[in-house]
Amino acid sequence: MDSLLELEHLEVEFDTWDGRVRVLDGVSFSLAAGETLGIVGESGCGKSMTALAIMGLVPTPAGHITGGSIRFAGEDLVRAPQARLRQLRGNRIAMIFQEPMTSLNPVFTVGEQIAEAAREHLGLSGTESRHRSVEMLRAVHIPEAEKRVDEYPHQFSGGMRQRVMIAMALACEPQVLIADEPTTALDVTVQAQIFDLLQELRETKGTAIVLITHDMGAIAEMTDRVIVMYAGRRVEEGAVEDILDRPAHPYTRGLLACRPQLQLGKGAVRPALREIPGVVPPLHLLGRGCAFAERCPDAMPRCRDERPVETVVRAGHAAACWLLDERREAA
Amino acid sequence: MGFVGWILRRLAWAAGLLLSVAVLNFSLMHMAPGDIVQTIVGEMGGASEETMAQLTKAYGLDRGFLDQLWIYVSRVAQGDLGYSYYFNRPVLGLILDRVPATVLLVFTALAVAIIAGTFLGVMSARYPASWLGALVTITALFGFSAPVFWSGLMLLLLFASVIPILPASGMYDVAQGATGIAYALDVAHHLVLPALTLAIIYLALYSRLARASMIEVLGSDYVRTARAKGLSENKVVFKHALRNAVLPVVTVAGLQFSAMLAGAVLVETVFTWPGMGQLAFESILRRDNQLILGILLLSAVLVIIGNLLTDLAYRFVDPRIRTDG
Ligand SMILES: Nc1ncnc2c1ncn2[C@@H]1O[C@H](COP(=O)(O)OP(=O)(O)O)[C@@H](O)[C@H]1O
Ligand SMILES: [Mg+2]
Repeated sequence: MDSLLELEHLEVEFDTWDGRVRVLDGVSFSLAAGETLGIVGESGCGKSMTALAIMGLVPTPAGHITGGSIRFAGEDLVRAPQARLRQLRGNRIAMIFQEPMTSLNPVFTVGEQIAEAAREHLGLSGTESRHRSVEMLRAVHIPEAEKRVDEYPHQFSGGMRQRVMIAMALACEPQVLIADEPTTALDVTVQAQIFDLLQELRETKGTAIVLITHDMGAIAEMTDRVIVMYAGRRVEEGAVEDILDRPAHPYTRGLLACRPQLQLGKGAVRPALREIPGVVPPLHLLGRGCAFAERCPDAMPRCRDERPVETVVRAGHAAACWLLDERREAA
Repeated sequence: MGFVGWILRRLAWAAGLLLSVAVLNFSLMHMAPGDIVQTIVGEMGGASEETMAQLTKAYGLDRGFLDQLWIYVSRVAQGDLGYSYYFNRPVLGLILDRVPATVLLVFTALAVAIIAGTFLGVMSARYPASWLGALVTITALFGFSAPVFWSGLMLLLLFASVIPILPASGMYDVAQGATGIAYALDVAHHLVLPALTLAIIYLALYSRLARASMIEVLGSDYVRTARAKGLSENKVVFKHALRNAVLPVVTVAGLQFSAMLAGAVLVETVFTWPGMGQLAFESILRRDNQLILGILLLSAVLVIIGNLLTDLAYRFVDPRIRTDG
C-alpha cells in the first residue's frame, strides 16, 4: 500500500513556564490516497497538535518539531522550508477547524475567503476565482450560492459556516483534508449533515481524510483505520472494526465505554456521558512508565516504571500496553 | 432601513444635540460673574450711568433670562451667531475664517497619529522581542505623559533653533505671497511642527492600542485559517489581521476627537497657528462673550462631524455594522 502521508515518530515540544514539555511523543501513522483515518482521544491528548504539525503551523516561537518526520508524497515536510509548506497548505493539504463561528474572518465576504486560496495556488483571475467560490458553495449545498457568495460570515449559521470552511478547504482540490473536530461546536442534527457532506465529498473527489472526532458513530461510519492517542502518544492503532469491536488497550476500552449507548435519531438529546475516572496528567509530570498507568484499572507495577512497547495483536492492529506482553508470554 | 435612513436619523440627532449645547452654553455664560457691559466700560476706562443703561439695553441685558435665551437660540437657528465687540466683526465670519486652519491641523495630526501609530503597533506586535517593540513602549510612555505644550516647545527648540529647518510660527510666509502649489508647500512646511506636536500624544496611545489589538488578532482562529490557506505572511498580517486590529483604534480616535480639538487650542497658541484655538484664547482673554459662545457652538459642530466620520469609517471597515442597519 503506497502511503500519501506518513508520520514517523513525530515529536513536538513546547517551551512553557514548567520547562520543556513534550506535547507529541513519537506519533506515527500512514494514510493512503483516498483513505480515511480517524484520530480519537480525550481533550489535550495532542490530536490538534498532530494536525497543526502536518500543516506546518505549530505555534511559534514556543513550539518546535524536535524529531521524527512527516512525509507527504515522499517529501519530508519537517525539513522543508516555509515557502514550500506555504505552497502545499490549502492546496495539496487543507484543514478545517473545530470553531466555525470564529474561524472565518468577519470583515471579508465568504466568497472572497474561498476565492483567495484559488487565486493563491491555482493562479485564477478575479472572475475565475469568484466562479470557483460559487461552484464550491454549491458543492457544499449552500442554497442560493450566487447570492450568498457576497455575504459576510455573521450572516451564516454555525452549520453553514462549517460548510463554508469545507468549501474553502476543498477549493484547490487537496489530496488530504484534515478535519479537526469539525462538528464539536454544532447542534446534533447539524453534526450529522456535516458528516454526510464529508462522506459525499470523499466519495466524489477521492480526498483522503484525517478525521479527528469524539463521535464514535462517525468513526464507525466514515473511517477505515483509527489511531488512539493519549498524552501525546499513540497507544493503539488498527482497522476500525478491530478498534471498535476488539480494543486491545484499556484506554481505548475506557473511551468506548463512554460513548452513548442509545442509537440516536435526529434531534435526540444525548444522555449524560460516562467518563474515564481521573484526568489526563499534566505533561511535564509524566513519569517513566505508561502515561495511562495512574488511571488504568488493570495497571501493574511494571506499568509505572517502564514505558510499554507496541505489541502487534493481529495484522494491522497494535497497542502499547504491558498487559498484551504478559498475555503473549503466558500463551 | 438603508444608508439614507441612517444618515437622516443621525442628522436629526445632531440638530437636537446642537440645540442642547446652545442652551447649556448660554446658561453657563449667563451664570458667570460680570457681563459684557462691564467689560466694555472697563476697556473704555469708565462711562456715565446713561451710557451704561444704553449699552445694557442694546445688548438686551435688561430683559429676563428666558427672554434672552429665546432671542439667542432663535438667532442661532437663523445662522446669526452675534457680533464680536473686540474684533468689530460678525462672529460667524470671524470663526469661519479660522475653521480651515484648525481643521487642517487637527485632521493632519489625526491622520499622522492613526497611520503611524497603527504601523508602529503592527510592527511591534509582529516582532515583539525586537528594538521596535521597545521603542513603541518607550514612545508611548513618553508621549502620553509629556504635556502637549512641553513636547511642542521641545520640538520648537530642536527644529527651529538647534537645527533650523522648520518654521517656528504662523501658517505661511507673508513676505513670499506665493500662490498655487508653492503656497500649499509653504503651508505644509509650516504645518509640520504643530501637527507633529498635536499628533505625538495620540500616536503614542494608538500605537499601544494597535499593538495590543494586533497581538490579540494574530492569535485568533481566523488568522490561523488564513495561514492554513497558504497565504504569505504579509497577506496574513496586512490583509486578514490589520483590518480587524484597526477597529479599536478607529473607535478611540472617534471618542478623542473632541480632546484633540481642545489640544489644538494649546498647540495653536504655542505655534501662533491662526486657527479657532487661538481665537478662543483671545476671546476668553477679552471676555468677548458672543465670540466665546460662537466658538463653543462651532466646536460642537466639528465634534459632531468628527463622530459622523468615525461612524462612517466604522461602517466601511466592519461589515457587521453595515448589514445590521
Ligand atoms: N501554545 C501552547 N503552549 C503550550 N502547550 C500547548 C500549546 N498548545 C497546546 N499545548 C498543549 O499540547 C497538548 C495537546 O493539545 P491539543 O493538540 O490541542 O489536544 P487535543 O486536540 O487532543 O485536545 C495539551 O497538553 C496542551 O496543553
Ligand atoms: Mg483539539
